[in-house]
Amino acid sequence: MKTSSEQIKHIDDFLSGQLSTEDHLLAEAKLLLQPQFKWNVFLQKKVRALAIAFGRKKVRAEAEAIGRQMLTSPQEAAFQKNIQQLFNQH
Amino acid sequence: MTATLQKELHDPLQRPIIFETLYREAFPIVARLISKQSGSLQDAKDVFQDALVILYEKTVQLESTAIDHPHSYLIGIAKHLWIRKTKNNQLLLSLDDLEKQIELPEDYLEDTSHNHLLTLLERSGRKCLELLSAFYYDHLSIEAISSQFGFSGAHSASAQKYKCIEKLRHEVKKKALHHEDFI
Repeated sequence: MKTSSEQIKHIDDFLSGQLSTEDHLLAEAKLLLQPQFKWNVFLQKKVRALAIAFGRKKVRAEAEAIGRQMLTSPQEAAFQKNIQQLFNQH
Repeated sequence: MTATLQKELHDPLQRPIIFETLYREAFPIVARLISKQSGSLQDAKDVFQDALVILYEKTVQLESTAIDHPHSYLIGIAKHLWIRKTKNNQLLLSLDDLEKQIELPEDYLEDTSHNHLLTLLERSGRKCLELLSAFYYDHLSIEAISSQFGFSGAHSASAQKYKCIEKLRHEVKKKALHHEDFI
């Protein structure tokens, strides 16, 4: 019987493709046969997806901050003028 | 070059400098392309900022060895995003051989399903989200994570990772009972 921490590691390795072929096939069989295992895998997939969404949101915010600085800071007036001209032509 | 860029983008102090350089060099080219196709300045900003995020993701995953020229690669990503956004025919926007090889992450533009749950978790489990995103999004090595988060070593970082998964799994389960955006 695996401890809770071992179960979490096992599912993490399964989702990362780090189990041996034999263990991976066993885990796939458990997905079909054990609803509790299937539920835990689903929850853990969700946690991974949320962690990725969180990381992406942070990097997007950093990119936006640079964009704001480049397009509104008085120090970047020449850059802003060049960009604005592109859109004034149309 | 990709490995060097990866190292620089992983560094929270270097990343804004790289982003700024890329903004200065590549944004005018992307803005020109978009303005010629009747797009707005806001369109250009949105596309460019998404392109920076995708460049970051492809670099840290070492997904492409073609990122020897991040500036050109970034413009290629932006072109693909613009084509996708406007459902534009590729013929209207010429793609060179390198650009034709670029693939956008499948989940990128549709990835709004987690928004509500993420906002809730940011309140109750922000530290764990920070740690897990270092593993799953930034693809940092266990050594880098240990150092960045102040763990005594790899074992301690791994143990905390599994505790965090457990905590967030529990939170997600609780919140799942109340929110329809769960699945």
